[in-house]
Amino acid sequence: MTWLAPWALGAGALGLLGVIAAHLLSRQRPRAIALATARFLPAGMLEATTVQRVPMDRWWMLLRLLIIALLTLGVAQPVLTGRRVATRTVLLLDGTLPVEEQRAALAMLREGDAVITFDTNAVLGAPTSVMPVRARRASLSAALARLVRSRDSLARGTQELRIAVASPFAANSVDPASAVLRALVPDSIHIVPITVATDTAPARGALIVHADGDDPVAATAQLLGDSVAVQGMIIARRATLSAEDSIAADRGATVVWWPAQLAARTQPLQALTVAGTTWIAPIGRDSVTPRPVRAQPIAWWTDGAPAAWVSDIGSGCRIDVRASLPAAGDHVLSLSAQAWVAALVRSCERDIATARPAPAWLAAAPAADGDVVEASVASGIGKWLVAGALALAVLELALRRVRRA
Amino acid sequence: MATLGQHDYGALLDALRGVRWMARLRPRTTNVGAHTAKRIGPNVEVTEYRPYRQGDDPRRLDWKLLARTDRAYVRLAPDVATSPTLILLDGSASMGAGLGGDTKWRQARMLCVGLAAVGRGAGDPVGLVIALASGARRLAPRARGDVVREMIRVVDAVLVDGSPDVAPLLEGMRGVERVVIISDLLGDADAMLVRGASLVARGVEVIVVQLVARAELSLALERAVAVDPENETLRRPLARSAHRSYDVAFAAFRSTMRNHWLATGARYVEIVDDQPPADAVRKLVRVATGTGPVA
Repeated sequence: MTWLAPWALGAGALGLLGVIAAHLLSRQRPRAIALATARFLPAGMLEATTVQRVPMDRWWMLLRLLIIALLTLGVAQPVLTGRRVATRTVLLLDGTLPVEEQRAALAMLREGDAVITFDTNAVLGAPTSVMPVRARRASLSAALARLVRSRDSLARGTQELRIAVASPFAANSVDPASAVLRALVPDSIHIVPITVATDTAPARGALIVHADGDDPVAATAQLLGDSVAVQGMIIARRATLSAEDSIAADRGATVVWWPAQLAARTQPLQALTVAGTTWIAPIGRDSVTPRPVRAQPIAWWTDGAPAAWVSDIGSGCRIDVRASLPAAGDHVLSLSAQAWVAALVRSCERDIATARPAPAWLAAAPAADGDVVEASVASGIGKWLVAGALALAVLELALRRVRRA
Repeated sequence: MATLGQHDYGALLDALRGVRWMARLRPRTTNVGAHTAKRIGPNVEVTEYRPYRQGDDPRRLDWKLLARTDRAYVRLAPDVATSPTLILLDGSASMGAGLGGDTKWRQARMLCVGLAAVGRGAGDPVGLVIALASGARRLAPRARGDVVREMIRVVDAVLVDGSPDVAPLLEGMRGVERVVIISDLLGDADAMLVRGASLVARGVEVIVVQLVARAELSLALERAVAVDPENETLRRPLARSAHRSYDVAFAAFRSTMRNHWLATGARYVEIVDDQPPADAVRKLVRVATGTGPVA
């Protein structure tokens, strides 16, 4: 354990000695008693400073010593460093990798190492706590952001922090923010070599739309044609999905379940983003249809709330959209709407198909602006110690008042 | 303040049954009582004859002697009279507060009731004056049978406090033959001495009872500040080193009070608060009647 403000320990020691000295040299104030013949006593000092062999009011002294000690420790701010290890490896594990590849990457880690598994979200954990699940899309920026936030705590208690990344670096996983976030990490990053077997291009199937005749999404889908349909696509604008939809998805089709909810007439313009494609239109949020469980968000409103999710069904894919469209207007027929729907449907395609080499800026450590300050985070117990000291001080004051009364 | 129960007073009155408190000076009153009066009156027991003089009461003439010898003589005999007694209690705070609590005030109440009972037993009118900060509480001398009970009720209802002047209450005591002052003499002692001397000069029998607490006689405390209950600004350190000089000063004060009061012709008694009240009353009566030591 180390201290952020070791000078406070010296000051506290002086304070403790001062309290003990005050109780040894305390100016005695004898109790007053009524004595009718007091006039016959000789006049003299009513208070006397005497040195006692044993401190007076020992319980009060102990309470005051405790207050000073707690205050001292709180101001000194102890840093709990724990057991130090020579090297700690932090693996950034891309969730779009096949499960076997993920397990192989995890096997390289030892006890005490850490893993940041990422798809569109990043989660920090121990290697033994990771259950490899294959995701369709991943964001390297999410992993780097999580690393930046946790880097200091990960570096604490170790002499060297080694960072590795296992990822196919698919086209959609790297964005402009990735390089910026990488510059915030002062360490070099080791690229774990992986073998990615690209999926063969699947045969395209038919596009099936279950909707009313004048449904705007159906019209947009017709405009898109079969160009976006991989293994066939079903767009369901009904309140529920049918068994045929599930069977088709199980056989490899993409089922888009977009319940036909109408937006309010006064619905303001909203922006929906999926895979870098944004559609701005008077779209509302569908708060009627329940959200899917255990599905991965793929589209978001401007405030970060998810608007669409993707999940696997058999060898196929299911996309849930919770957005209500205006009853009138041709917003859905616009080019931006078509591009958005196309990007939405392509969310079922796995990014690993677009694997590429790691970017050059990722591996090398950025030029240091100055000395990298080694992580030293206060354990947080300091403020509780100070709070305890203040509480005891208030208690001591109250007890003294009660005693006087 | 400790409450004295009827049992305490009853035990005291039982213990004092038969005690006679005869007047040391012949009373000048005309009411027939138990004390030999100062005047010569028409008593049954004739002690002398003298010739009738103008102004004598014709009823005192010895008519049989006049008839036999044709000489006008009057019968003379020592008269008996009552001795109206007034008990003056000091109700200052110093009587009710001290190291031992209100033991001085408790003893003062017992002495007051005991003396009243003894005086009432001799048929003397007994009265009471209590000097209080809120004003004097008075009971005029009376010889009624319930005067002792009335006195108990009054002294039990009083709360001592402040620093009242006792000396002014010694003024204008007409018809009173005996005055008993019960006080610790820590208040206006000098003024009391002057008024007491004046009373003695008028022929009033004055008995001064100085009450002292046992705790005041032998200080046992250390490391304390002694505060005068009648003067909060008077604070003195009560250290062991001060005990010696305190004892000397307090003894000198008591000795001075005793000598000064005796010099006026009054009787002086020092009573300690832990003394049994019946014994204290007997001692006081002996001193007052002149059958015991003056102090």
